[in-house]
Amino acid sequence: MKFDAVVIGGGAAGCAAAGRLFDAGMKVCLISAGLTMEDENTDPWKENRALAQRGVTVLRGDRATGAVLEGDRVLSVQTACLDDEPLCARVFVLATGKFFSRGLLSDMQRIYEPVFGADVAYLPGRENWYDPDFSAPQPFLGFGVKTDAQGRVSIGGKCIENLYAVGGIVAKGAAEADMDVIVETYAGK
Amino acid sequence: MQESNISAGNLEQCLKCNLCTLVCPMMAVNAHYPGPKKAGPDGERYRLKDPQYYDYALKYCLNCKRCEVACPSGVKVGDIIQAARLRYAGHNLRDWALANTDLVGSLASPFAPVVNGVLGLRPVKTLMHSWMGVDAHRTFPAYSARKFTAWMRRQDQSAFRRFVTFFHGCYVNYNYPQLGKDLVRLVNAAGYGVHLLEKEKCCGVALMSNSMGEQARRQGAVNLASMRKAIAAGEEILCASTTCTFTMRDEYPHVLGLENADVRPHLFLLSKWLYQKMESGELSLRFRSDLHLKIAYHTSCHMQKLGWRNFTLELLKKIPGVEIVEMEQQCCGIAGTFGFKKEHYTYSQAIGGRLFDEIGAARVELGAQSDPGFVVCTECETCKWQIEMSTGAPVMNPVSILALALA
Amino acid sequence: MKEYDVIVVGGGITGAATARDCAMRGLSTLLVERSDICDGASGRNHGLLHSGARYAVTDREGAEECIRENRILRRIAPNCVEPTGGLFITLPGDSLDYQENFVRCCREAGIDAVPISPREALRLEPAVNPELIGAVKVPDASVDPFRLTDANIIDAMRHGATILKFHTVTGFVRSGGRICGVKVSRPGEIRSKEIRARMVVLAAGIWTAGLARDAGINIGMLPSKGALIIFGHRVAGMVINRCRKPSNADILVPGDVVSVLGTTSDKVPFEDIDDIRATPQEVDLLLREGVSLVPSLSHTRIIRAYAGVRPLVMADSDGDGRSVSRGIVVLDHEQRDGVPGLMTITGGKLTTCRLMAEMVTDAVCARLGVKAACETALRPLPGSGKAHKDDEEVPYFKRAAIGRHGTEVSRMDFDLGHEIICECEQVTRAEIRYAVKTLGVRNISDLRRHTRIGMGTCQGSFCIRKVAEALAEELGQPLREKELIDEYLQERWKGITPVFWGDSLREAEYMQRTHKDEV
Repeated sequence: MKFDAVVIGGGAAGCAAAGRLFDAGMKVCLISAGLTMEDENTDPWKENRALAQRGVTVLRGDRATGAVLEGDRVLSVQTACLDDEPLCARVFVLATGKFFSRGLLSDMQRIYEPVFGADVAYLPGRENWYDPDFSAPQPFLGFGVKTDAQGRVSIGGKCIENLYAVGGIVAKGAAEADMDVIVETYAGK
Repeated sequence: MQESNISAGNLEQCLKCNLCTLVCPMMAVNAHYPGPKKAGPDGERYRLKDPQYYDYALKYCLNCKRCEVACPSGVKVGDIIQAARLRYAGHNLRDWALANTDLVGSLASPFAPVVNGVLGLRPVKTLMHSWMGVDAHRTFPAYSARKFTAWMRRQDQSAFRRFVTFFHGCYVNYNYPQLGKDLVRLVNAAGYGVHLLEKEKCCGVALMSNSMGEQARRQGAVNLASMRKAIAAGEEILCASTTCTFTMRDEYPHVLGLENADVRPHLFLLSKWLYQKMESGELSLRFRSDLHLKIAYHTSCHMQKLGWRNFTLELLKKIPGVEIVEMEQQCCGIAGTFGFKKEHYTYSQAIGGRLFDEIGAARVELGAQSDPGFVVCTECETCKWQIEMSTGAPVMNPVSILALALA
Repeated sequence: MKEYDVIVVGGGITGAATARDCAMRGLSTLLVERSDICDGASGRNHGLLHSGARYAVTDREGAEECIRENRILRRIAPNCVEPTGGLFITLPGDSLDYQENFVRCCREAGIDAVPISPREALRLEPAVNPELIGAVKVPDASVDPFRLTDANIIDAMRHGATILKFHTVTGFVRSGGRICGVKVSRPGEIRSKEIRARMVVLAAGIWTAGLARDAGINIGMLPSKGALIIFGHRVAGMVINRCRKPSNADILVPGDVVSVLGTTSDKVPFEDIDDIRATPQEVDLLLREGVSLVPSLSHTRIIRAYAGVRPLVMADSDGDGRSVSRGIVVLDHEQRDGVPGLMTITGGKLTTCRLMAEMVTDAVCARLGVKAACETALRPLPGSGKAHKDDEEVPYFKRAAIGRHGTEVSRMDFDLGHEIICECEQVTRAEIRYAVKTLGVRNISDLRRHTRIGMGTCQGSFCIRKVAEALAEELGQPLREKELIDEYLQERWKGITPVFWGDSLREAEYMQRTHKDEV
């Protein structure tokens, strides 16, 4: 399926991004892999439903599993439900959140971003991921993908032209994508 | 080591966030149902210790999988519950009759006029209500006098060079052959001939929800073997029903333990197959422009779980002049044979209430209060029974709508 | 002022069993515990009811004690013991000669050890490493140490014993050379009060050494740290041991709804015993070893890691303090040190707790001139009657409680309190009320030990607010929910951080974001 923009992640940041791009006249697909912590105590799927009613294609309960890249551009992403049907677009927004929402995964040694294998800023050695005092600031909550000044993600040190990041997936101190810049670059073309 | 946590149904991924409980349609209407989290991953930890912790309230699970769609952790909540019911629950005569859709269908079809008449009679309904526990409000789906397979045998498909295999399912074969005929017409119009499986059994969904796992497994194995032959001959397998498709793609491996990785990518709902063929330019269909249908699209539970609704919606949008309103994605309450049991009838209707209201509202919104062009569209046959019984609106499978729209 | 016959110091399993035995023999008994029941090593172990097989090769006497007590506990505490059976597996690289000798030693000790084929072992327990070359079936079982301790405490109380929790023994009351009571104070309070007794029994695990020193007595003890990890669910139905000389991480026990892997063994200084925690390095080591026992542990979620301190006692005959006594140690300090009125019970194991109590109570009775015989092996513990949970009529929220408390559920009021408070472990309001009334629970950690509240995979992330509210209500105290929650979460965090990756890390984010205003 072809879109102007694919937003990966249906939490607050992803929904806001999808809405903004849609309002700029773009054909938008939002991949929403389950409810988020923001849905607690609210009407579940509220934001997703509102976007769908406006005309955004919302894939509820689906999950991005991988991507196809050419040079420094993303061509498409695959999802768990759609099998071989790729979601193609000119621009992609990564809004998959942190650990709870599985935007970042971890094992005993490392922390990584599973869809693109994007570069992640974190401290090596898992004894450095936490503070033994529960109430102290926790280092792991600042980990996230590295971005350039425009909020674009890099893979293996190389900036990906059309892959932007917003919300919790972005490392503490790194820039989130400016939606106005994305609109300016990609809308109406 | 510890790259990922692997457990049956991803039970361990559950973070106990309870988001699944927000979307469970049964929990909202039934205080006896502990809800997906407690019935699923929470209960499973206890059942792994000792089957005596099995809770009989699990029978209330609709297997709608809306918990799985909502779960941020990828826990197969519904699968865990299904598997537990297969392992631990017992069943009775009524469940057996409702579950054995193809055996009962084979017995009933030759006597269809009689059976339909008898099943519709008030005293019989009352008897079934009290003795077998089938709710008297229910209208049994009519049994067709002539099975789909009998009709299909007379169809000459020899003119085609490319073929697909059609898994028709019990509903098409015994209750509603017209849907099968529509599919054959549509696929033929697309330039493909239709074959049937060498041997087709009921996909097993009704057996599974009535805790008859062994029989479901045997039937599944027969289906998979036949499908492998068709696939080896270069044919894709098409279904018209979301439930059969979902069951054979996902429940076979997750709940019945039937390995189907080789078959799964070749098992399609017609709309996905058709959409992909049309988009890739491999085939094209011409639709008439005088149809003017007003469609309320209802995403069946298993459609939502499959995640394929956009294939159907995109296809329907290709028909000139149709208006489509999408219903909020929620359960109609019937859940296959669930709503047929008298102890479930009230829950079933309470769950569906919101959807029925929404359909009524859509009808008004489309300006189609008395318009014969108004139709509810869904891929699930039991949703069809429930919605037709509860709203009076006609319900069509998109296959039939697309066939109707052929130029 | 009241004078007790006996004061037992220490509310672990040994103290609890001793208080029960003393009370049953008609002695007026007081048990003093500085914290909550089962807060020391009794609550920080495998929960293994030894068949004795593990000791058969090296410690014949210990093995014989284990199998005798194993049979007794199955009989008197069926609601605390789960007869899982156990396997000793031999892996490639281990010696089958060792296994042969092991079986012979087991049989000599009276343990029913049955060698079975690797295939049969895999059939009985599909989780074992399929590369095994030999297996022996033994009557190991799983025992819930919290429940067993509680049952002893409850029975002691029902026989007239008094339980004084959250009181520290700060010194002894003396008359001449004789110990005739203890001085106790609440934590944080300087003022202490005296409680008199004809006999004081030290049953305080590793803390016994310090108490004895206060009485001017030297007991050679070594603190040995054992770290363990808890997996989120049952990966095996049987106890699985490695059939070789005891080593790190060679036992996996199905404990309640989880699996417990352990343990390590490292000497630690006495200064550390009050703040003992498992480290990431210990977790790595346990996991590396445990995977050879049960390969699926490599991808099974770990909920937390914890550590306890074993009290190793040095043999009195041994001058340089190198040799560690393996068996049960009863010290009559009148005889040993010339200090009348004081006894110590230590050494031993969770499995032999009843026997330890019997031995020290015998000694106490001899000194006090009481003739009553020990009946602890004959009389069932509270909760041990027949309780069915598989009846269709029994709702799910009651089943878990039956599993934990057996027939004691008849004392819980489910009509008033069937609301589930802790969902992972299915703990209801009724069970909380019971724990508050029967066991004197004061905070969430206490409640956890006596009900499993917050012991499930979420470690309290989801339910802890509800728990704090319910507990405050049941205690009828002015609400101090925030304090209760902070204290509890800090304690949980200690066990989560050593296993800080994968789904535990995801859970940690959930916990942080749910329970901290600003993250």
